[in-house]
Amino acid sequence: MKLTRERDPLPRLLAFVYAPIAFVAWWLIEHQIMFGLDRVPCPLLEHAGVACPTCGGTRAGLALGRLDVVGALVENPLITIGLLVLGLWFIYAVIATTLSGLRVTVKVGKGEGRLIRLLVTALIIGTWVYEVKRHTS
Amino acid sequence: MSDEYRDDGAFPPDPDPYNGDESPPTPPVAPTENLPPWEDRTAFSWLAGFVNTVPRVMTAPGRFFTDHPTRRGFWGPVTFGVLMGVIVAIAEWIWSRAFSGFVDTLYELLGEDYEVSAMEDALITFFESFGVFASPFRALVMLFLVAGVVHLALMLIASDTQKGFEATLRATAYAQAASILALIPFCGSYIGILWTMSIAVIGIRTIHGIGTGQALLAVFGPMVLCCCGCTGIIVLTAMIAAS
Repeated sequence: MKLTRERDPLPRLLAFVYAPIAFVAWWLIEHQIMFGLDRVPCPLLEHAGVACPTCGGTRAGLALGRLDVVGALVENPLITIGLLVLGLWFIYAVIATTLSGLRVTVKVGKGEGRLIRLLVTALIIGTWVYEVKRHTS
Repeated sequence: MSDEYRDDGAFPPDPDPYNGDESPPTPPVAPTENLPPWEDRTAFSWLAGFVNTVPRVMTAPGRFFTDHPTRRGFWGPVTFGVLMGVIVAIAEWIWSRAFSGFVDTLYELLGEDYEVSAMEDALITFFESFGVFASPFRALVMLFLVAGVVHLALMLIASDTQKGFEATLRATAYAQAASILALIPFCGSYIGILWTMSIAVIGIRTIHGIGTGQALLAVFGPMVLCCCGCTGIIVLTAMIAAS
């Protein structure tokens, strides 16, 4: 993995599009304006008792909002790690926009790319097995 | 003074292809961009651009996304996507008003006893009243959300070949053209969703130059992950139970 001078500012600037969306979504859920209707939001889980890999994602997001990382990981490791990466991206975007010397582009090699794909696939499968076991036990 | 011809090299001789001379280098030709009518303000007005873009995307998405520009900025695709979102919201509002009595009768005939909570009732009233006004904002957020999720999947599936976020945003935004079918009552919006997804797959495949399987995975993968991941298990369980 190599860090080079920023070639394209778009990936950094996009953080300023997604950060407000993420914040508004979190605020709506936290104040029970969205997904707060006292109903099980997943009919598949309700009827079949089988969880999806993203089951508990909303609760994980809410726990992260309260800075409860362990609680979020217990709810859904996949979504928690995804949201933490997203948070790091937002923080980098703010810092790099303020300090132009820190603007970088990450270059990922072929082998490293394959490894990342493998890790993400393993994380998805692992989370799914964990969620199914959690809801059946 | 001498009559002898002196070649001072001011006029080089023409190349002789029979003696193995190379032909003179041709000036570089700028790559042609297949600019959508919606963004081609020199040839189309706003209305003509819109009217020409929608059928082109719907009937020949492969041709539409071939040599599609990927470095022209977000303005064109985003305005198109938002406009489609507003049109759909207006159509849905009109149809919900026109057929509200019919749906109530249908529920009565089916014997549906659906209790609506106070919060849901408030939300339904709000979106029925202000949904059209809020639709540009909603369409904008949805456009960036869908494009973001699809591009995230693309980064994992085809990180070497993908042509950047703008290409993904363009494919997902112009795929919204099929949602014009929401103007047809009842089934129109459902057909529009399926059509939009098909165009998105073709658009992603063509614009990024990736395989159909990769494009399918990028568009449907996140959906499968969230909603339908357990459908396979359900079907399997049902089959085991049935046997």
